[in-house]
Amino acid sequence: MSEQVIGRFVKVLRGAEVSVSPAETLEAVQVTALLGYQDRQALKQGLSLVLAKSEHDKLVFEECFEDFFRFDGVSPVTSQSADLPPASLMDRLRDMVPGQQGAAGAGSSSALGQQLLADDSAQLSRQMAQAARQIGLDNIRVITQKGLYGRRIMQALGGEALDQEIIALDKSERRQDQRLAARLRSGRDQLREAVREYVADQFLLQAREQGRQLREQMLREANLRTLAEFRDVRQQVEKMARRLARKHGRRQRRARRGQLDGRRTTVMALKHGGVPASLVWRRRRIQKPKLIVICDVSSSVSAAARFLLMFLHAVNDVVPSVRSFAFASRFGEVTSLFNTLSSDQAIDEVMDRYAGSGTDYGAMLRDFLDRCEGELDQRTTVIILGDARNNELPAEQQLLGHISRRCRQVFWLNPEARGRWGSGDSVMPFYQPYCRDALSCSNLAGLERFVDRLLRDLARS
Amino acid sequence: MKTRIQSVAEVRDSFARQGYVCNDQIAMAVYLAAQLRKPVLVEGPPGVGKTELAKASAAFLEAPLIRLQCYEGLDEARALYEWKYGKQLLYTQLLREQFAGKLDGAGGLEEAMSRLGDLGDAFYSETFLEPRPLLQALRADEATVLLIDEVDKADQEFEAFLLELLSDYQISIPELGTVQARHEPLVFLTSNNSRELSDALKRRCLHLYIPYPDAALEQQIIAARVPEAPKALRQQLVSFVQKLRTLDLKKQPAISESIDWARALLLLHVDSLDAALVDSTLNLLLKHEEDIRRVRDDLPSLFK
Repeated sequence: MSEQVIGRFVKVLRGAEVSVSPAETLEAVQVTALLGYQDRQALKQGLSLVLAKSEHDKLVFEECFEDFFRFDGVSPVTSQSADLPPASLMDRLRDMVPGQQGAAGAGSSSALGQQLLADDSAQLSRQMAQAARQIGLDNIRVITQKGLYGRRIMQALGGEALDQEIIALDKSERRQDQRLAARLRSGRDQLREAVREYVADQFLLQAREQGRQLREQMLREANLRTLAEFRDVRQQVEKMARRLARKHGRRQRRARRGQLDGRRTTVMALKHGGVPASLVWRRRRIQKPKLIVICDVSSSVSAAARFLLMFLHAVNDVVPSVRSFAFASRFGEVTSLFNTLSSDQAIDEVMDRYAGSGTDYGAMLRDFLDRCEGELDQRTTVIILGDARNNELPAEQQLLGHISRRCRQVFWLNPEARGRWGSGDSVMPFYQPYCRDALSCSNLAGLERFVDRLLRDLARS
Repeated sequence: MKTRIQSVAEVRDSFARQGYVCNDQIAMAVYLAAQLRKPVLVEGPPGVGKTELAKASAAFLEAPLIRLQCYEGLDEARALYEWKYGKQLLYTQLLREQFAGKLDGAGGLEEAMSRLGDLGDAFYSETFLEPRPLLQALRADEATVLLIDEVDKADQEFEAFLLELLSDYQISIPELGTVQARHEPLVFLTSNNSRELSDALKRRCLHLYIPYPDAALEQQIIAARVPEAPKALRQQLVSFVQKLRTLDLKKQPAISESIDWARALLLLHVDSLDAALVDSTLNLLLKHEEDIRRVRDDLPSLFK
């Protein structure tokens, strides 16, 4: 019993994006065994210790707990019986099932009808849970299936026999039968309502997680151009960025194995009579890398630019200094927008100001060099995002060569598939030799891979 | 160590007797940790009594407290064990003749080597082992309370190294093999959140978050720690500190600072707070010049 309840609760937590491991689930079971269900507050505190492991998770946990364990107002009947479905359900049924106490199902011939009249809500809810298991309510995936599963549960409870009975009673002439039919009908309607709510609850608990995973998967793989229309794509990007930042943000220093720190080794050796018993390796602080991003925001690639900028500004814990430039028909720096506005607003503003057509990559490179040549050094990584479609203008690849010699590395991100590079007016092949790497990225997964690699690379410098 | 803890209330009452006033959540953490034999990871802003909790628990359980302060660059040699190199050297010097005697008559390099080989193990034995806090906790004759303080300051490698200790209460030493705890210690880890700890570490621990206390609890704490302070002053002081915490400050005043302040006010024989007095003692509460200036400007409005 306890295992099942905790198992379901853990599912709910996972659905709300609190990650809970199987080992932690077992601990939660131990905790409930230790504390029991009598003291709700104590149970909450105890479970919170084993299941929620960060400040944020604790808040989410609190909400989920309040939703899941609705203990208050449990009738005395429920506390006597050990094997019962969640208390909340019991409450609801108790309110809903009509009929007078003690009428003991007199008059009704169908099993379900007798129960409705007997007002045995505990029995009913037990059966409902059983029926739900029977028909496999766990398999519910999408919201439109709720009606279907509700009907199936009614069926499993013996709804058909009840329907028949009501119809038969309706036909009867006796007033007593008519009254009974009315009572049964209202009982059935309320039971239906209870089943509907039960299914809805279960859907929320069970399917939320799978639905979310499905959606995330889809967002990651959808083409960037169509992606802009989705509502929660920004949260998704932020989540991915947070993960990357966490992954790469930890290490501020790293030992450089193989390079002995002679001075400190000698000092340490003094302790042992001059014998260098422990060696000290040279460490060094990672220099803060500088990142310069140049984004083509002309209509053909603006979607990709939007997400790259979002990504890079979201990981600025790890890469504190990002300068961003945008260009289409003209070229300009947009860093300050990101510092003053939220990333969404900033990106909209960038698009407003710079979007256009007629990109000239050669002119852009020249502009960039004029402005920033002095700032390029061996800590600088330059990222260019664009399709390199140059409208038949000269590519001026020697300028990119100049940039690439002055800075640490140049990466080129092209939203087009690799096969199309060089076709038509694309001058991508001229630029490629000067880039440390040129990558095609058309969806969020591709962008994430790139940023992951970039951060790892920056941490190694 | 005390082995049977009856209830959460017992923990809380014992803590209260020691002057460590806490809410049920904290007492529950100690209770569960002792029952499930799990380490507790305590997080929260600085100065809310994370380290105190370990001390109070040690007193409650009547167990010795072993403390390991973490810092950047902390390694196994400092945390777990070290060979006593000096002693080893000294012994080799003193026993030089013995060695020579032992090697006498060895026919060739190989024989000499094998004779030395028998000896080598003697130098890596318990005699030359210097136990550091973690090993001390594992080898203690009675169960201890082990406090690993500010684990977020240590490197990530060290965090990974702790995992074996936290899940199985054992540690592997290459030269000696696996050291199993004689008595499982109760482990507290504290973190100020200067970096995110790894999921692997969090999974092995109970997680307790201690926030700043609410006004009622803070009054109780001050009453317990500075009993001489009159009630009216206590109320005024707590409500002022609580107000400060709502401001956007570089470092918010913690409980330890309110206690210090209460003590200082007591020394000054103050019965009630006023703006001038607060102004002159503000540096006890706030530790940044910026914050002090900021609050000083707002003082009149805070005192309405």
